[in-house]
Amino acid sequence: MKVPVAHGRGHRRTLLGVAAVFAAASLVAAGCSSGGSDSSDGKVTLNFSWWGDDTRAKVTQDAIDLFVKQHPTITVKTQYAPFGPYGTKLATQVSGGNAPDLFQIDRSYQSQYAGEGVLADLGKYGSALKLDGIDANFLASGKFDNKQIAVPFGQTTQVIVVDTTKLQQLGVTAPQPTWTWQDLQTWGEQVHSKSGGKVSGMADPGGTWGAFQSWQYQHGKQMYADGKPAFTQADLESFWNFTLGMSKSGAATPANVTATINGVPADEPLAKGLATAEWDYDSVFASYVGATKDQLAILPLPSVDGKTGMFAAPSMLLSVSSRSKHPTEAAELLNFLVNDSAAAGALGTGRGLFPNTQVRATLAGSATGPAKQVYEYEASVQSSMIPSPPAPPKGDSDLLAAMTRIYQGVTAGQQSVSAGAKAFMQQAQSSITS
Amino acid sequence: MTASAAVSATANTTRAARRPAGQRHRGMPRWLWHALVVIVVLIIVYPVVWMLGTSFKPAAEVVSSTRPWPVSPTLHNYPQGWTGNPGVTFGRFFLNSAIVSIAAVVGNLFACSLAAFAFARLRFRARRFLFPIVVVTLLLPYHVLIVPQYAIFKDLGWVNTFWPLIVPKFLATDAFFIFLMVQFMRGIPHELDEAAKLDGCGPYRTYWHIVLPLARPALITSAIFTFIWTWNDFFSQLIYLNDTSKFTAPVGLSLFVDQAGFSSYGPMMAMAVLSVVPVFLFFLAFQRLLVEGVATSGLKG
Repeated sequence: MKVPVAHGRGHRRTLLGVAAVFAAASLVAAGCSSGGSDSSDGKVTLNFSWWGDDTRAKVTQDAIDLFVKQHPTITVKTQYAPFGPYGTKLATQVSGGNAPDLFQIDRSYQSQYAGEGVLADLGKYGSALKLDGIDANFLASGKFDNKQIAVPFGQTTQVIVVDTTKLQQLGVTAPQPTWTWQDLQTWGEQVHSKSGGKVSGMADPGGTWGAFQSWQYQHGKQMYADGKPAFTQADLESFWNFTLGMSKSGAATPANVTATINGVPADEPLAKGLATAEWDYDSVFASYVGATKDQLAILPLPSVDGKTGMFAAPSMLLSVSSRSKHPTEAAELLNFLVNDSAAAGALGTGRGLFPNTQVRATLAGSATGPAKQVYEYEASVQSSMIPSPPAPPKGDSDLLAAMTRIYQGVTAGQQSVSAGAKAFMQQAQSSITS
Repeated sequence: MTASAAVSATANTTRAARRPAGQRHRGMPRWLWHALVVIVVLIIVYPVVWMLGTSFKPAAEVVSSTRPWPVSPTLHNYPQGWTGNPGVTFGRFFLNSAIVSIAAVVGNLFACSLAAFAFARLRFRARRFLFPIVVVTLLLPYHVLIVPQYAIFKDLGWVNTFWPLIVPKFLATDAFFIFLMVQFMRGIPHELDEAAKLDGCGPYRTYWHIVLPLARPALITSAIFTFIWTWNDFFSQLIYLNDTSKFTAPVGLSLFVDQAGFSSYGPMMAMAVLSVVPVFLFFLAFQRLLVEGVATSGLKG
């Protein structure tokens, strides 16, 4: 289950390409018709485009084969590319009037596409696309201007991964799932002192955009309002003052270790044995398991007044092109991919947990290993989650890297917390333009 | 640019070869010179050595060890990379790359040399105006061109075929090579054209029999760089090719990068090694011609 999430840490995705292509698109007169061939015998060809690797290619093709068997008049042509190039290619295809009928879309550019009017309203297909099997809180992630322009294609949730083997070796008890940030601090210091200063309690989450996001929600605040940042310099300062305090006391990793956090589980302080806990999404839990010999457990985020601020995040979403010649058939395929138990069986958990709640519950019963841990975890936190926030405005993805960069300067002592927070707010003002 | 640097580098070697040995680097001890060269070469070659070494490393060793050579070498990466994609082998990607690259070389040599001949040798209206326009197209970033181009090729029904990658080359769209050839052709004495004209040659025969043979070094330089650039071109091949069976080597290599930034580095490097081989061979074969071309061009005696 390796799925990146736009709000995860360090997925350094340059959307420059996408932006450049959209800018170029304005040079071309719009109004080109959509691709897709249509033969006279009632047969329909759908183009389905997604990002991923060869493993995902196999499972996706299996699922599509099942769909085609049920719908003999529909042929599905697929195309795929790795995440970065996929974004560029999709932007070119959409701008060039050749958008695929159905395609995967990432949260980081969802608003931009929706704003351009290239995503079909998925609420109007009735029985072709049934959305009531998906949790409404989760479905909200695909809304734009109160229209359902995308459907989440896999669920993941924030998590703290804990190395229980190492904790046993150090003689420190694992934290309770109901822990607070204060508990985390005390516990982290314990790990630090018991290990003779060699191991920190937790990989410092101060440079992680997603961790700050949860912090905001825990304090009952929002990230964005009306397409503008709703977080303030004071919010950021309170977060950083806390994480910096943890780092200084040894509860969190020191500056030089924090600087190596890059979003790849195998490279993280937890896998290297430099920290006993790590902030991330449960979709990459299996990668952590694969990167270490130690036993790992998953815990909810530390809470504030009982609020964890966690939500079901879409690892990716599916959208139908507003210029598709066969929107109903595309909606049928989408419906199959997010609701059908046969599709769920073929797709596995490579995109996160299956969207349809009922089907997911059935699958959870037969899961083993890390997947079982994730299913159990998701079930245990389901009731405490807040509704998925709508897709962030354009430019949000720039802040991911900015957060890491500026916080690195803060931990290294080059900048005070308030100076860093001020610099970040300036970056946020210029990145979030709409 | 790189191409002209290569031309002048070859020219330098030829010149240097004529000089008596030992006088090359006056004022610097030979061993120091060699030591410096060796250091620079090590730095430049390091990524290639790393790629080669990694292609023989088992998966666990790729990320865990920093040394460029494998501790427990394995050949496993090669078959794994070759058959890594469902339904298609890497051989298919190489074949596709070869088709596109060779066609691009033929197209560029034909069209750019013809255009260059016109700009360098023929007098026609607006010549002084058109040539700068051709050169100015060099300044347009590819991202600006890609969407209009894509829209055109989509309307022609050529998306998901090799045509968008090949046909433009036959229309002299690579301004860089036109510029290179024009500069080179301007250096060929005009007396040769005049003599040909007296003997009854029209513009096409002058082009074919007089200018083209003498412009061989420029042609070879263009061929080498067109081949390398097309072979390594990722972006336009990614944009225009949709079916996995039509993918070229660079697009095929990108499929090894998986969604979480975890990559099958071993198989990827194995295939990268293989995809460097044709470029290397192409350069090796044509580099000799490049030197010959410089040595034999122009008027003798």
